[in-house]
Amino acid sequence: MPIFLAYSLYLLFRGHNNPGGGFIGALVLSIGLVFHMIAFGVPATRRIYKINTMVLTSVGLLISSLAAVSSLFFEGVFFEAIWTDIHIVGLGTLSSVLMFDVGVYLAVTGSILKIAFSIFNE
Amino acid sequence: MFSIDPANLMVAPLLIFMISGMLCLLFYKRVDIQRAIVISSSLIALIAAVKLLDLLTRDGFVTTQVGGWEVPFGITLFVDRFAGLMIAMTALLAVAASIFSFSDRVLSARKKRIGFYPALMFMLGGISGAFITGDLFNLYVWFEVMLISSFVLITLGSKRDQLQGGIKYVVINFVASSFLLLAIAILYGTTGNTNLAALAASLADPALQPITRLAAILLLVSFGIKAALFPFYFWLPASYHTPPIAITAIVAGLLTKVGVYTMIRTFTLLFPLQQHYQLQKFLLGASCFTALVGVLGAIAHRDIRKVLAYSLISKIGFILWGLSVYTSAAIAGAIFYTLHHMLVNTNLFFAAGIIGKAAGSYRISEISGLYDRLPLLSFVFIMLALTLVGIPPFSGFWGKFMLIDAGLLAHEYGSVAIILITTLLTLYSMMIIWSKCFLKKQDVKGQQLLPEGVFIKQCYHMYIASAFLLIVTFWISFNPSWLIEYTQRAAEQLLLPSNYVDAVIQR
Amino acid sequence: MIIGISVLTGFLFAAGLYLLLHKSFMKLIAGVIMFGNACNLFLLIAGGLVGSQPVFVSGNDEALPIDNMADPVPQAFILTAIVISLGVQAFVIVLLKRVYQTSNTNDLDTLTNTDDV
Repeated sequence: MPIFLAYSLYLLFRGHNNPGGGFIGALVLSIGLVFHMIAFGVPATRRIYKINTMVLTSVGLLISSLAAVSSLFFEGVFFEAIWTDIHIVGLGTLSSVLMFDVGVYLAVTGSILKIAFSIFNE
Repeated sequence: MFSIDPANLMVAPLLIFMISGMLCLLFYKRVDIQRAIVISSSLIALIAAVKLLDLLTRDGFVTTQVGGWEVPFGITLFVDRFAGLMIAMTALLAVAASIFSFSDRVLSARKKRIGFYPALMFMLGGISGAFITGDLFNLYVWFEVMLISSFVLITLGSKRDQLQGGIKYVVINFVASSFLLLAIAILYGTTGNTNLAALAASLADPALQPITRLAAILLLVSFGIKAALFPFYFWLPASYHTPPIAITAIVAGLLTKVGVYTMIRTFTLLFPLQQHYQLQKFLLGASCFTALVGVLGAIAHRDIRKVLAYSLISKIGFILWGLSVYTSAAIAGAIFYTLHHMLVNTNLFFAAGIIGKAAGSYRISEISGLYDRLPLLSFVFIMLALTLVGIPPFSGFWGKFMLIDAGLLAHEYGSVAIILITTLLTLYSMMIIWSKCFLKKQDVKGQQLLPEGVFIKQCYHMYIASAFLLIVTFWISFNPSWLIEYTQRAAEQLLLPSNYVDAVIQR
Repeated sequence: MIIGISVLTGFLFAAGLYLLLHKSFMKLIAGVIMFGNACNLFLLIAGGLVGSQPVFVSGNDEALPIDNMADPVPQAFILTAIVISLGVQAFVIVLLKRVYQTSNTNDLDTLTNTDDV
């Protein structure tokens, strides 16, 4: 599980100019969680990882849409990317694109787990 | 409002609906918070849409490029007068629907907890997205947003009938979306882009005709399924009467109209019907059949919700008939009729909901004596029925008058006759409900109805929502000139696709 | 290559449509999946199979378009369409499971409750 988490975060942050990104990262993370779910059952997964899928999805969507709207406040067009000058080692440049990706990451994880939980929940 | 920049104003309804959907998802356990979010956000969206409409009176259209990417590459957003009117009507219906579903008596608290409000908001977001987009693939995405939310709405609560109707709805609409995707693939393969303006420019080339005609037919089938056009309407009466009435009302008022909107958009901009003679003839025949078959179904059925669902189909026929006559006046009539019908149809479903609540049934044979007990409801219902049929002072008359006048000017005498017969039959189907449910004296052994005073106290939200829409209908009925003028200008805009192309490409 | 994918697409369409029209629930699910995949493949070949290289060479921060690159737009379309069809398929599976639980049948032809006059 930690390996899945680490690799998915790596995919998330290398996503802008390399293959990867929020969606793929989220899929990798949810593969890990779904394996855990198959092995130990839905209640165990819910208990151990304390996941609230609805909150995860909505927070993710809100972050993404904030990234989309943010350019409106800086005299830009809707959805225009904003790049800052802050570089963090390993994360690349902070930007609204990254923010969008993080949002997608959370939202996709949340919704895939929601689907998986409701299919498996007998 | 944070800014009155027109480009921001046009995305405002979309953003408001989507963000409030997300907030509802965040507070998915707190129905009271969701309720506040939904009502306030639909009011704000209504204000934004009215402002946008006002702006369009002067400018005619607003357009922007998402993310600042240039025309063939980025996604265009484009609002002209037609789209502006549709967005405003969507926001209006959103307000009414959120008032109507306010009380737990209409829609149980359990259904609200399992996601009524988020699904409603995402559906409205998808619909506004479909209205403002200027890109075919983006349109597909908004369609899917809208459809998946409406799948959730229609099957919400998982009653047996709902699920059975839901299967038909889901599978047929899935096939319709796939057809849209195939059409996009063909158009992208032949012209190399999916931007509506750029497509319209390149489709004018006659050398591409043989292959793009296939795309036109696929689009016709796809949007025809969504709009419930004649050979493709069977999913609608199978599924629309199954969910709780608050959901039926908003879904029936909006979803088919999105199909109609995209159809009018496609067949004026991408494939102008005067260049596609066979398509025009097909559409003319299909819409006449839609009108007739719909109204015959309405007469045959004995469940109020099914009667309304079938009369909805027949009115879709009217609107598309206006498109297929393809003169400026006819399209203006079609737009006017669309707006009028969104209002009246939603409100009729509201009235049916009140009837169902009061009498405990939707079967016409089991309801009687409503006029003695519920005079206010009777007034609302008869006004709506007369408006739907098109008795002179009401808005249905103006829309129908515009359509028929245009039809006569275009020498379409046969189909005008069919439309007039349909009107007469609609009157008959409404009068069946009126005479059997309202005028007939109450059976002695029938269910005892509450006096209206008590009933209104219990369900005042339903009455408020219904009265709100009725007032808007009256306002349009007695004050139609500005809307007629507005729709005429919208139709002229639609018939000059070169304006659209120029506006998007040379900005 | 193009011929092969075209034939495969046609085959998937035929199989998907046949299964969609079948009355068993499981075949309906399989049909929905196949029909969706056929549409995606059709999008790919209709966009034209040109080039075999990814769009951008990376390694440094400069991203440059290169020769022999594949058209990225159909790929983007398909990615979006796959995500959407994932959602629809998940919904259909859950829906059919619920129908099976409430109606206790595996036959679409018996689900006629909503069509009564």
